Amino acid sequence: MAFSHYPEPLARLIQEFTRLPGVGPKTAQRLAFFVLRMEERDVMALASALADAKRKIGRCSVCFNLADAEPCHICRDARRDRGVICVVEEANDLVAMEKTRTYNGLYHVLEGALSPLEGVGPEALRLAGLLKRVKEGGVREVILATNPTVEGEATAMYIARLLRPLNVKTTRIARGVPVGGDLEYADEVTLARALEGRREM
Amino acid sequence: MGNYKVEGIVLRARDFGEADRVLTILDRRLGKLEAVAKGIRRPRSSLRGACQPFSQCVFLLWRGRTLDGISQAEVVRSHARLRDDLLLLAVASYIVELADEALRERDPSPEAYELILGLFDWLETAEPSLETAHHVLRTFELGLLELSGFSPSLEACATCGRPEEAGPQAGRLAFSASAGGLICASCRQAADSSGLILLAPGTVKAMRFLSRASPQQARALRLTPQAAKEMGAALRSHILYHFDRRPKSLDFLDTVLGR
Repeated sequence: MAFSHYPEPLARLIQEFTRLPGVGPKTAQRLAFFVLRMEERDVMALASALADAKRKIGRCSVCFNLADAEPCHICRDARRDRGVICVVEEANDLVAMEKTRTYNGLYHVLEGALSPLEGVGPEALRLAGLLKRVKEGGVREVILATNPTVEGEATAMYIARLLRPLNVKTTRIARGVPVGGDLEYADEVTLARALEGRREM
Repeated sequence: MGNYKVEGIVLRARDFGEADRVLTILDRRLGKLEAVAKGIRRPRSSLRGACQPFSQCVFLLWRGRTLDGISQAEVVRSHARLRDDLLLLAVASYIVELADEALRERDPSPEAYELILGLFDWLETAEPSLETAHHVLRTFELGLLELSGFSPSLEACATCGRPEEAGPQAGRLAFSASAGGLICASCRQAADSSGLILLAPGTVKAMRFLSRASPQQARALRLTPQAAKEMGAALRSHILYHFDRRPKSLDFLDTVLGR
């Protein structure tokens, strides 16, 4: 046992903390000692928050977003535009899109991206659900907001191909220079894309 | 000591730690090597564009204790089209995966470098079609097998060594992956015939040619649909038999090729 010079419950706590990403033995010890110094009430709140998150969060059966209800709060929201679906790789990409406060449609979370080199094929993604939603009608536009990586581009191209026969407008998010960035330090590929996707003013 | 420069093709990039990525680079002089690109997954990293798979770049590397790192990168040719078309992406993915598997680390292979670069140029400049895809794939497979010493026996019987004729009068020749190439009529009876693939003499001649051809020479060859099909079947069984594991990109390639 790596932490045998500690009393058993403390050693166990340290051990459990080391499972977290980016937490090594030193950080785990510091966290554990901090927990010992916390008010009991706060420790209980932390423990129940951990357990609650694990127990109550599932996937929305419509868009596969993380949700504590069925369907998720976004799919339920009557103020949202049901004619637009934004396709993202992971639930945290959805959060990033939400933070823009400019999008008011629905989402579809793929839970991954196509990766020929890692052997991740179309069957590993939530594509059947997306096709079903589009086929059911009422969808005007599908926005492909997968990452601008090889995997994300492959996924976007693949989905665009699947959607072609369904006659729904399919768009891809633009790629370009980041806001507050500097053209001099932008890489050539991004800059070339930004030039391709320029717009009239 | 200190920094050194490589000019290479990015074969693959895998995530490493919180914000880093480890690239596998095929350098003209040094062969296959790995280097870490620190912080590349952060949006402000200037390395990002150059470290995309399939691009040809000049890298400035620093020596690390276990792994060298990338301090600067500049794109020579980005091969962006290979990432913008599903068919080309599937073909290029298969090429880099097989190359990564067959080539040893820090073992110089300028021929492999020229082969892959030539094929990427071919893919980028040709009209993307299934014929081109198959033509490039067969050229790559035969070229790589030849370079890595896994080449199937195409001149003589793989079992007894008797020369195999592929003249216009010759009948169809038999190819056996477990024997390691062509197999003559008398050896055929001794071996189990379940895995035999029959090849027309013209197919065998084309395979002999492609084994030693540069991408430019290979491109000039007219490959009949029949030869492409037979060759594809023979090479598929040969590769699956002689490589340790099934290439991961194969299923995706088959989906895109419509098999």
